[in-house]
Amino acid sequence: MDKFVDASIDKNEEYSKLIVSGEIDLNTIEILKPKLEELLKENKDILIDMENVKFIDSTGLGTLVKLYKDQKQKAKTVKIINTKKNVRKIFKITCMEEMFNLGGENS
Amino acid sequence: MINHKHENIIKMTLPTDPKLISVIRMTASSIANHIGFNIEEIEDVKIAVSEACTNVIKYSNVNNFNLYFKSGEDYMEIQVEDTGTGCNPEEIKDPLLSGDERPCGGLGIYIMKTLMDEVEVNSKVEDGTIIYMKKNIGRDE
Repeated sequence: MDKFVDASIDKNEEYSKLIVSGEIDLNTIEILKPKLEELLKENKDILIDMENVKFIDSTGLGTLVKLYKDQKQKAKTVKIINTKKNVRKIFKITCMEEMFNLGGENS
Repeated sequence: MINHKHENIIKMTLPTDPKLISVIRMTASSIANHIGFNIEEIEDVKIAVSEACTNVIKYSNVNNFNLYFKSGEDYMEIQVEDTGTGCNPEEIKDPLLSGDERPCGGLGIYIMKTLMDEVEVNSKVEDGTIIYMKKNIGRDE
């Protein structure tokens, strides 16, 4: 079966950026987890670009919440940008927009 | 709940394999599109079906489960059935009550209930789970 998700890390001095594309679900989350673990080790604020994420479900949200908690313990943040309308809706209905600092409607 | 004796029911028996989640979403999307749901409604159906099947795959501890689709002129019904470990539905916590300390469990059910017009969860410990969902056309805000 083809790869349904992809993720690349872009590190700079201020923050670590993860660019994700595809669908985040029970099948693909195991591909993302090692990338998130790598980001955590950097001890910087994390920026996740979801411009090319077409789908996310509770499995993906649960993993992001764990990332948020781990970062919070280190006084670091997780910010998510460029969410598509349907992905944004999932963050909205689960009251997670503020947690991930999603900002205005089209951020 | 879907009456299995009704005509025009699509029944799929699937292995509890996470790789099939995306195929299930595509199937649900095609049926919803055929009925005439708009794009936002189709996305709602895709997420709800994905959540229901993810629950089975993660928690039921069985090898196979059944997925039913029933379509009407202006609605779609979906039912996911397994004969696995089940749970006590009253023990499913509201994921939004606990702020930063939110548990991850229960989030899928909450998402289903938010996006669909009707959701019923019938489950008993060691006696399997049935999740029924219905979505009507044109009920979005």
